[in-house]
Amino acid sequence: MRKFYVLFKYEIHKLLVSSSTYFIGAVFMAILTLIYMFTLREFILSDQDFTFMHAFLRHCWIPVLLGVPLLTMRTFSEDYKIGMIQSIKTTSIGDFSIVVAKFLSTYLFYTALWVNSLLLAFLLPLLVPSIVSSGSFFATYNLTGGYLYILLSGLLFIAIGIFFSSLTENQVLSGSLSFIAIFAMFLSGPIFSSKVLSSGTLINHAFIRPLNIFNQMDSACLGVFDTRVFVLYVSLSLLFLAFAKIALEKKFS
Amino acid sequence: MADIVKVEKLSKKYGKFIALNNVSFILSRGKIVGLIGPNGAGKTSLLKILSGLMPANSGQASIGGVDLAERPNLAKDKISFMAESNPLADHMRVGEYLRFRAALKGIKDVRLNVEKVMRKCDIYYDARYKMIKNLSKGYRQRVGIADALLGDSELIILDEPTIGLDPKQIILIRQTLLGLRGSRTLLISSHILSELETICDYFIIINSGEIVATGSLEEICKSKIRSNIMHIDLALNCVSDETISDFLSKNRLTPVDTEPGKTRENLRVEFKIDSCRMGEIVKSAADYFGEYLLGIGRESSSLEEVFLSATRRYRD
Repeated sequence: MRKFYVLFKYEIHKLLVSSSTYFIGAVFMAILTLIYMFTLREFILSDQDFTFMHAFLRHCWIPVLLGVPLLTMRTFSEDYKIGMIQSIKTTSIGDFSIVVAKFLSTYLFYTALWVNSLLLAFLLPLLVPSIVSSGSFFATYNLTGGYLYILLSGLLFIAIGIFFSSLTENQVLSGSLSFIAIFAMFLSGPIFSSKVLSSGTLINHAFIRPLNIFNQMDSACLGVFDTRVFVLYVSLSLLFLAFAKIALEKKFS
Repeated sequence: MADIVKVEKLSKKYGKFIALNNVSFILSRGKIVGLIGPNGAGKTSLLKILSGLMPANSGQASIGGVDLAERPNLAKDKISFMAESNPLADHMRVGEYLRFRAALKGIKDVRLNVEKVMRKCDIYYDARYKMIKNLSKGYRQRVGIADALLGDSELIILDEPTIGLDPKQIILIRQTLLGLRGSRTLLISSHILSELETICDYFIIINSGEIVATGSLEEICKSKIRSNIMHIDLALNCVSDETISDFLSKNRLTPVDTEPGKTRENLRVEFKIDSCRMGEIVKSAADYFGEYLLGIGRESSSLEEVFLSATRRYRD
């Protein structure tokens, strides 16, 4: 456990001293700010079915789609390239500990970015006091549900990014692969839903609906948390981390 | 236990390519061992297996009695490895990096240990606060060696440790490594054979995935160098060329050079000789040249010759 903590600290240090981390953070926050401004404009110009925070968090997939591949593509790929992973593997730390240390440090940074985005929420009363006074700004369940869902789904997206990074030393390739995988996940829900809806099979619909990421987000923002979703994300995250461990082993076999 | 490394019938394949084929050897505790072989001989594969980086396809390797395949983490605690590429964390300072490595290796007194190895490798005063990315090749190499020396690993594996070092640094590192003789086992792979010859007391020569010779330089010389070079020193201008030719042909000896070498006092004739005929040649030379024979001797073989001889079969 002590060695894991040493490695985890090393990974955090690596993130903190890298200029690309700050660049990614800046891009992430810039995208969030743009979405925020766009949502605000829509909110002022037309009537909305959702509260402002709900409408804002519905667009969270855009910074996730762009930010997660950028954040995770370096984790293993860079270490493969400079050989640091080889150096770490000569010590008695296990492969899964290496994977988890990278995962947790990246996840911590991902969480920090989203926590940072709360600043935007608290800016709203200063920008448009009328929205806040009308009560259509947010309900507490919007904020907690939405952010909890973002952090839960982040487990899986980061695990996917870590897995693709563990496959290759080419950062661009690993980033592209995780981008495609995450994009496919976002798209698959609406595509399946529309197919099932058109075929009209209600049983299938009941099965498919919780898999739709946008439906999950809507439910979470309304304060409804489906335990199936929780199990799905946690188990898939563990599965991708296990795949990453296998990929790491194969690199040295 | 006197043996620190025990390797039995170790094999490694990459697809159809056989990198190691039934490699077996034993290394005694406290020895400095040189691993030599041409490029692609299987040295790096062997070192990677011994450092626990890579599993073998078959065979067994144990470090200090711990089987590498069965208990890799326990075995890794007994090993330090410096790879040829010498990967370092460029974003860290030297002292910071070595402290990280020491903590990762589970060393108890991190600060003291790090300071000790930095002093040994002469990086304590002028490099400990420097960013690794700004270091020259020589400094990077010394940081890599310092990393390998951290703690009290029973086996230290160094792949090309002195590459990129200037002569002064080489001497320093050589002295540091020699200081470990007796207390730790060092397995050093290098292409700088003269360097290995100076510090190693045991050699493993590997070629095409097979071990072609093991032992001390003398032992390998005996088994691998069949025709040694011998010389006789004769008084200048006292022995004719015909007498020398007659001596060589009568004893079926092949001269190394067509003309004998001359100095101010003597004439040196060098010829190749089978080691088992040495006594016979000494007697014959004494009979032939009598009082004009000033000296007789055998050239010692260098590691380079041993290496070339041991790997000849494969090159030819």
